[in-house]
Amino acid sequence: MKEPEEFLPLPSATLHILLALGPGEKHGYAIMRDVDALSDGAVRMGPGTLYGSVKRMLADGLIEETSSRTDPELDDQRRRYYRLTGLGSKVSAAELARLEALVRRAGSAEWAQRLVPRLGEA
Amino acid sequence: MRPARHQAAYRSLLWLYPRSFRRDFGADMRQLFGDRLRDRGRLAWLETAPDLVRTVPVQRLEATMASFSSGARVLALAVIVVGAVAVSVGFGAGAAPLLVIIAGVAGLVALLAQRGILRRAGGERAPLWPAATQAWWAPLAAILGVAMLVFAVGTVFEAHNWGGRIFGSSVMAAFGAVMLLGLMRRPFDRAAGNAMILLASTPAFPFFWLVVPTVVAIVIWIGVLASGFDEAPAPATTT
Repeated sequence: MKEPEEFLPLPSATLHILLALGPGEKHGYAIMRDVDALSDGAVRMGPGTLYGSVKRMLADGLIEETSSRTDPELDDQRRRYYRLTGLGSKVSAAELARLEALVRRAGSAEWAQRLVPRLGEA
Repeated sequence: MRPARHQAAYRSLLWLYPRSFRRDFGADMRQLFGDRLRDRGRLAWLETAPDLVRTVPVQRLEATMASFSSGARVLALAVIVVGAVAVSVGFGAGAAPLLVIIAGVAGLVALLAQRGILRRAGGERAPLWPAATQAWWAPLAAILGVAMLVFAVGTVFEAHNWGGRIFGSSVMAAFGAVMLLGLMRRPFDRAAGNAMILLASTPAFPFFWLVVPTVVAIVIWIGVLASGFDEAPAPATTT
């Protein structure tokens, strides 16, 4: 099995889907809405992008389909629900750590602080 | 247009995706589009239409590549590369052949790396002589490899500037070395060896006005591709 670091850097769609599934299992449309919200509308996934990414993530073992709902309120028999696997959690953590280190390094550069003053405060 | 018509239009467009993708996700995609349509009305098409344009070719390519064996995948990509080189040379596009070679070789390397074939490029190697006589086309490949190394040395003296001397001779030496290493690796790992030989002979194609390198490269490719990419090692001394 591949190590989490071997997946990095993640494609944008993959990272956003992993983050959307962080709190718990979701169906496709819930993932799409959460990605919308997470990115302030900057990342808008169509059905092809979403399910193309889901297909690859299932094959890589980052997510899995769930057969039973942890929350009966969520249950909608027509839909397929997905959740993070252990590997998916590790990969998203590794990617977030990588991005955090990147922002920290960029923030220490003077020119970057001029461009984005908030970077210097971090 | 009523929502049902939008849904029907989207359902028809889903036929553009490969059958396997439709089978696995078609129903989900229809439902997701229906949800989006309910929330955003016809504006749903604003994100769905570009999505179709972007993802249909990707899924088609993935499905096509998945249906090939690893050897056929390399062959398909190689045919695209050579075709692109031939077209660009045919249209006299100046530096385009060089750019196409760089892009093609980079694409081929990426594909081979992704499939784990390049990782197997290292490892046990046969001595040069049995490697150069392992198949009917192998002596030609060995000659082309040595010629590239000689050409690399010649470029150091012949190039008009230091960029040409350093870049041209390094690239040519690298291709020559990959050719010889591929021949030596092939008896132990046919797929990796064949991939290295195909890669290394690619630069010979655009020099069509010299005739010989191009013909030699074509013969090598025919020999390599005819030998197949199965994982069983080729005997080290067969002819």
